[in-house]
Amino acid sequence: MSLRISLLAIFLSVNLLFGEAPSVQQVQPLFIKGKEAYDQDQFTQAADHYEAIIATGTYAPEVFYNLGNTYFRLGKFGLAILNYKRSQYLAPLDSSTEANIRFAQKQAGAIIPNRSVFEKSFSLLTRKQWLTSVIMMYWIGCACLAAYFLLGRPPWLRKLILSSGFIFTLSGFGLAGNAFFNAKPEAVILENGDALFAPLEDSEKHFTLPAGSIVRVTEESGGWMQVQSGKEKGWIPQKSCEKVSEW
Amino acid sequence: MNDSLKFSMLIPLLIATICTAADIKVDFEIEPSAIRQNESATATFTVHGAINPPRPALDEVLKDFDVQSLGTKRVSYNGYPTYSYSYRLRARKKGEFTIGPFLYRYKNQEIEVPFKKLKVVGIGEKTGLEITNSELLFATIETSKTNLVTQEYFDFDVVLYWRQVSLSGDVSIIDYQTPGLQFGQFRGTRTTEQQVNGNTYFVSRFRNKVKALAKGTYTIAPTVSVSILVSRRNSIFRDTKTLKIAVEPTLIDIVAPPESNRPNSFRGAVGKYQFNAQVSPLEMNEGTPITIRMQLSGSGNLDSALPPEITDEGTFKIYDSRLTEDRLNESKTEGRRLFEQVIEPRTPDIKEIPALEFSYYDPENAQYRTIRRGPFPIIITPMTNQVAREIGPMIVNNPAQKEIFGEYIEYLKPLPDHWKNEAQSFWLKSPLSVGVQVLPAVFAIFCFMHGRRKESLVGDIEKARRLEAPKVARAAVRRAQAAQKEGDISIFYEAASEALNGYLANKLNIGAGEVSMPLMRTRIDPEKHGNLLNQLEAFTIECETQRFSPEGLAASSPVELQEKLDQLTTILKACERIKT
Repeated sequence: MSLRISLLAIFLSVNLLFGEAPSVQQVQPLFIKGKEAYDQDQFTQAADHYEAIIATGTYAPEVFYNLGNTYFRLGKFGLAILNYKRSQYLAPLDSSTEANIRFAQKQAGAIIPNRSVFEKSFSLLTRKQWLTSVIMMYWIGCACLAAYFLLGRPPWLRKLILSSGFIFTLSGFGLAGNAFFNAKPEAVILENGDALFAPLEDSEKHFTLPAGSIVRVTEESGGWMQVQSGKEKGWIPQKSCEKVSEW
Repeated sequence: MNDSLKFSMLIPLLIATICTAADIKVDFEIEPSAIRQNESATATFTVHGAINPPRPALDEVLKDFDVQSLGTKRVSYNGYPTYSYSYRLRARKKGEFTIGPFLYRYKNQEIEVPFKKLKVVGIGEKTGLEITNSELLFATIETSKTNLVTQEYFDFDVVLYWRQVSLSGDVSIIDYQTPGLQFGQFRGTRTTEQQVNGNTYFVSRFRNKVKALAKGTYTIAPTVSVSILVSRRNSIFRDTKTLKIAVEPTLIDIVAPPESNRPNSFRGAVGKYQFNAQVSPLEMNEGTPITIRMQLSGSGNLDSALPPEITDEGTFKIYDSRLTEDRLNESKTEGRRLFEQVIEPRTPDIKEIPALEFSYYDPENAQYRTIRRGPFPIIITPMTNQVAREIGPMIVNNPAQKEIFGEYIEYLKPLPDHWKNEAQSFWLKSPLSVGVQVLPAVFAIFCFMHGRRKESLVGDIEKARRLEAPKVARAAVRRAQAAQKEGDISIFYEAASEALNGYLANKLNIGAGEVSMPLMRTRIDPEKHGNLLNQLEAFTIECETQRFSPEGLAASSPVELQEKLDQLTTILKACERIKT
């Protein structure tokens, strides 16, 4: 009886923590409709379906990816790259997304920031994934330590403790590195535009940002954002770009 | 106080008076005096002859600029300290700015600092500071060609000559961007020495590969920005001065490749090319797709060169070609590109894939050239008793999963297995899940302490038995309680005796048979616990009497037994307080 109750409790907790939202049933038909519209070259309708999914608050990397493809086919490279980047934000290891981003950026003539090996490595997992890995290793490490003391310190458990400690440290570094490199949020330029020297309408143009360019937001003031592209910093109206991590 | 002592006290006072009375001197310089909007100027404020002078208050004076402090330098020359405060200025808008005059305060002195002017022009505009044709410092342009066709690359070098001046090393080429031309990055070469008009010059060459994009005549008029070292008057130190050298402009004439004799297979390649093609498989079953691998190599506009097109839609089902390898040099003018083209014969009667033709324009010889590969004979075995299968794009195993637009875009993703919801916050954000994280550490600490205790008991039997004593007693007391309820006097006294003996044997680390009152009196202090020893003796005798008396067990009521049980519990509790 107690085993049944325990299993039920575990099932409920896991479902509560990782389970799917109740609105999944509503969005799945929209996803299928979006794909059908896309296959029939009805890209505007396809985009509407995918946008409707996101509007419900339910999302998946696949939705953003497909929306990116749809906008690409509509010739809206800025929105295409933005949605590819969002898909990549949720699933950093997806090679199709990376390939499509590169292709779309090439097509749009967008500015592609050079990312260092460290930045790429720390971005292999999302911040949440790094954190989950840290916590998982913490639990495993503690369990191993507990077993080690309870079982009279068997040598084979030492290796397991060291391994989990190593992965824990590595994940900790990953988490810290990810936080460091993403301290300035990424944003995508939606339409071709100019970055100005100051957040004023009549300020002089500093440099040009083609649609689809990926920039880092360094400051926000009123309706303006200071963005960094390479080593240059300039001000753009907030409406001309969207942050990758906010939708 | 004697005279020498008075004099020695006066010296520091005299020095201090001289020092405070000495006038300090300030310099304020802005270099260069004219900049473009994407450039910066350096403002240097120098104080001579002061000790720890305060920073100048320049906030109000430099309000039109983005100001970045470059730090403070302190130098001492001939015993006089000099402090320099440097700032990088970047203008927010175009115009002529007057910076100053302003007052600098040091102790009781107020020094008026004269104004400086800084001119800010737009990006690409001339600042008016450019110099040309200086005999000691000049630059020239060298191009590999001036008459080009669109898509042709040419070498564009800016060569800097100087003598009798010292360059600080900061050289940059600016204002070179020209519509209709695509510039790469300038790369400097090692400085050499060269004889020009009988004088020896140092020469630095800055190389670039430029692509002609659109037909027309274009003027390239770059400016070279150099920093030279200038000696200060009466000083061993040198300042850096930025000079802009205007270079004699060059005209570039670009035309489109000629219309006459243009082959149909020409798709914009300009340069010198090699082309190869391979087909596989050459023998196949009906419905099997064929892959044509095409390699373009050589020099020219490889970055935009396209492989031959197969247009025979009637005979073959044709999929878009895709780039599979792109090995180009940094300037993208040399290397090779590999393309894959998938075609599928529509009928088994096809005997060959037609020849592939790649045409390019050779600007050196001013003519088109065509390279032909094929035709490629193929053998198709018809499929019998079944329909030839429909083949999707062969780049992937599952044709439904991918499609190719032009070159690369991959097809839509299938329905996701997992969905996320904004309402579902990250699981670690809930206070409960954060609190739960304490549990593993607490559990591990508990296990550590438990393990330590266990380990310590292994080597200390006396302690282990002492700790075990109450458990033994409790078990026996429970049996006695059960016997009391059942009215089994025999088992009651046996259990009571066992509780007492077991407890004392473990507590005092002796054998169970060794428990006796004489031994108890030696191990338990009679002065402190005399009353307890008496109770213990009385209870032991009663138990022994009840168990081993020849008359047998005296009848006892449950109430009496309960009293005995309480008595036993009281004795055991009192024993717990004994320190051994």
